[in-house]
Amino acid sequence: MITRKTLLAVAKRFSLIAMLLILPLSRAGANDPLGPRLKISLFRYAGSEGSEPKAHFSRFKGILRDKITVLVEELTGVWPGFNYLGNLALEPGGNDGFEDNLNTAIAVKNYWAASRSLILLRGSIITDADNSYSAQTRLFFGDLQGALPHPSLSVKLPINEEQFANTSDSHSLAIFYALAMDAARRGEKPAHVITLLSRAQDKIRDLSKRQSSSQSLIDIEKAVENAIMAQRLRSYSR
Amino acid sequence: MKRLGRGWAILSSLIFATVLVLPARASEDQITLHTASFEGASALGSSVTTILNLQIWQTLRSAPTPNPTHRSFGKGVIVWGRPLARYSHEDAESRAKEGSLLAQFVLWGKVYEYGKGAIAQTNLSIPAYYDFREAHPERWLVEVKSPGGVVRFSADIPQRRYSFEPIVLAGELISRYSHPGALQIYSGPGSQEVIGAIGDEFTALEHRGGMVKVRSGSKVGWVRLPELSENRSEVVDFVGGIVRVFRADWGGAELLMDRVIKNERAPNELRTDAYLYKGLAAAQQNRSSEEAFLEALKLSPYAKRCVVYAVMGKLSDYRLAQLSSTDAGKQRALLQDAGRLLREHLYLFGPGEDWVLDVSRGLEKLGAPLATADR
Repeated sequence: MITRKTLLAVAKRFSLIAMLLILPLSRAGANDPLGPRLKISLFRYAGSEGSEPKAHFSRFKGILRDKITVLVEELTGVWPGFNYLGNLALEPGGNDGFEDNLNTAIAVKNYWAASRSLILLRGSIITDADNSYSAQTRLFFGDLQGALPHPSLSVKLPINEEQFANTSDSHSLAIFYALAMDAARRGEKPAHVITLLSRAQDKIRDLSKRQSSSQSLIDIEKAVENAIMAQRLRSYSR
Repeated sequence: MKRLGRGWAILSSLIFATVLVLPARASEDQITLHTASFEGASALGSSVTTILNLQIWQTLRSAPTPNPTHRSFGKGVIVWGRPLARYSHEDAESRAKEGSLLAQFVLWGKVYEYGKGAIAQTNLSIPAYYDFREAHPERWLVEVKSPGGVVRFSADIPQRRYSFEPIVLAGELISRYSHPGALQIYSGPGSQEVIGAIGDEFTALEHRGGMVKVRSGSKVGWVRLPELSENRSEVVDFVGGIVRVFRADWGGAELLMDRVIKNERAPNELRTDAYLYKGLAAAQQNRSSEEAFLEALKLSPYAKRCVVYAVMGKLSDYRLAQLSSTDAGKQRALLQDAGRLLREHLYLFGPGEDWVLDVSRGLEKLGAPLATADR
């Protein structure tokens, strides 16, 4: 049974500093006149020029678009207040990605800020020794990194049917986390932020079950736990 | 089961046909699962849908076995239809509500080419709308006695929109079922004599093991259902289980939900809800649901639906204690547990949520107001 006393004990264990970093985030963005960030910006992956890699990239984009549609609908089915996510979009339209001219960390950060993106998806398609392909994706969260040690996470997965679930879940996880941190930034009610974080936890469990934990997964797991604790503290202080 | 001709399907938005109609008492509601043909390149999407369709159909049952009390679970129907216009739950729900269908569930999805193979992504939509049914066994209602009259607590099903674990389609399946007419009809369950292939229209008649007897046009014979994947998918068990919940087949629902729970590959969200349905089924059979709900909470500790069901479970246990005239102290402890559980998880609920207000009012009527539940 979880009580307020155990919550405080857990809070001490899970890095209070990280939570203190998250708490101001929820106030700083409250009543943001520009509203939520609803753009997932996908850049053309390096190495996707050839016909086969290009086809992989294009399919990946189509799958991601379908995933976002369903993910948003599942959330609005849980609480109508998530209806604003109906405008969550993968950009640009079509099969291609934005041309990636972001050569420095500052340029990436500036693009994220100016474009009001939720996440930036950048990466490369790598030809492996056996002529199969892998996709290396860098997911950039910008100011929505919360307790993540870095503003971006890196995921490398082979492009094959056995890894499809991991590819799908790792992107869903990133989207849930970013949506939660954006909702927290705007001062959304703790219950609604936790709903998003709980979905992120589902994906963490699914990914952990299928593969040995990567550093990225460990980092985001901790960040999600910290964010949940922060929201619980917020709910008690209201 | 019937599958309609493509031309017909395009011309008419109202045409569907029945998979199987099991015997029913005249007054019982019909429960309908609609499977929209999966999108995808080649005929593979259509083949995958047919196979899933028939596998779920095998889980339908009209009565328990054995059946000493001559129970009937009413009419269960699976209806095949054209692909959805858009890959979307909203589209699926609109389909369910079509006047000629009035389905409680829509199973839909897409087959994607990925890497050098293919995967099937499957989704389930359970729209909430007036579907003319007289009974709604899936809505959990707990009625308890109080000095002021009966106090009612209720809860809706855990969720209405699901995505399943992607099914990695077996290589042999892809090569064999990517063209129309790939599902062959054999003259007998053990026969090698092919008498035709499942066409655009067929009706399922009976099943035996991994085989289904079908009528397709003028042919009547047996179809062998291949495994879609090397790993067992949770889709058939979970969908079959929910259909059983809607038919008040509680023992049967428990059996199928147990399979989902034991399926380590099933997504966390699905296994959580399988525990919730298992607990609901236990409570409806006058057994304690506590263990199932504790497991659900372990899997998804911050999911509001787990708290709702755990509180309902306590109230159901209280009802059972009332019926069995358990001592008043134990009864009171159950009410206090329900209140404490809710209070400790109030942070998961938005302000003024109807369910919380209803439970709060109910507990107050029973003399265990939420504010003092743990004192």
